[in-house]
Amino acid sequence: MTDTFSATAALLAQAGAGDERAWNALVDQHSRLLWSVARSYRLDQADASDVVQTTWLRLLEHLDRIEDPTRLVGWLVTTARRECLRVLRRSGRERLVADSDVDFDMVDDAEPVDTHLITTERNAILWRAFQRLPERCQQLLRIVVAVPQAYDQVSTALNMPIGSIGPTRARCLSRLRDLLAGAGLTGVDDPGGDPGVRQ
Amino acid sequence: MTGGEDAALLAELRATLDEVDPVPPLVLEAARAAFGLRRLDAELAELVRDSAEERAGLIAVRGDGNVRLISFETGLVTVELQVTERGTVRDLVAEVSGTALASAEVETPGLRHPTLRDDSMISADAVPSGLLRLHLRTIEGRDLVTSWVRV
Repeated sequence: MTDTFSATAALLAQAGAGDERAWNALVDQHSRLLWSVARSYRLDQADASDVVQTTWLRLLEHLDRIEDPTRLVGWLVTTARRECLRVLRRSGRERLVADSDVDFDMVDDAEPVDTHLITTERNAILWRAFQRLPERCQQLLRIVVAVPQAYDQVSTALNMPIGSIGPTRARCLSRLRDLLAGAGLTGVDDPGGDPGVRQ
Repeated sequence: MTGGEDAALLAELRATLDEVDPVPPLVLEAARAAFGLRRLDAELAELVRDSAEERAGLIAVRGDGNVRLISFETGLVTVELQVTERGTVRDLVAEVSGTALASAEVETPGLRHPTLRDDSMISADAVPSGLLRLHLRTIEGRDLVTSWVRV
């Protein structure tokens, strides 16, 4: 995946030289990740939008000063995370658990997000199961699906040792499978085509 | 579980998250448009202190009439921004030390308000809450911008 990172570094250099298309490409490639980070801190739409926008503005401020452009993903995630903590601190919603404390067993009992717009029942079930995962699992999985290839940068961003990301990811997925099984949904790679809801 | 099964579940989760919680189009538009706010020639005064972050957790910071102090620095130049909250608008007073100002603007992603009281003081009333930064020009012709802050 080195190529992906060199391509990112090239876009960063072009944007730094004033190329708006390169900037737009960076925005298109990485906004989803930043959104995932913000939402993984349970920010609402408005606060998450602010965090993403602020993160891009910070990148613009530091466009010529990113020390290692191949690590842009890590820089963006770290910046977004800092902005999330800022929002939480300002609004007095800072967690009791310090951000660096990894508690993958703490069940998340937050209010589920409105699911009426979800088109398939399977997606709705997966989403509900996902929301019942411990918070740090949700956070890790959201970021892992957004940047599957950059474990070292995920590790920096989440304050987690890189060696624990793979095993933790596996553990979180296994819990998700248990929740899905509890909801009557079986594995995603069953033979027989269309993955449907089993009663 | 095998790596392949994990990968399949992750792919499915990705698709679900894309559907359930996509990046709002306005967020992408704003991020693209931000490129136009870049100031190549201006020196950045970085955020070094924000009272809102220090006080939170100790005393309530919500409610009208709160005063927040935000400091920015670059080299010898310091900008102390005082933000008073009045509902959805903010009154700003900033004091600049280490240089003398020729002009100053309060800049939001949408507009710029020229504002200067004297060569070290800036004030602007009833600025809408949201992201802003200060753009300063010194009498020596240096351009400075502060980091963006949300007020």
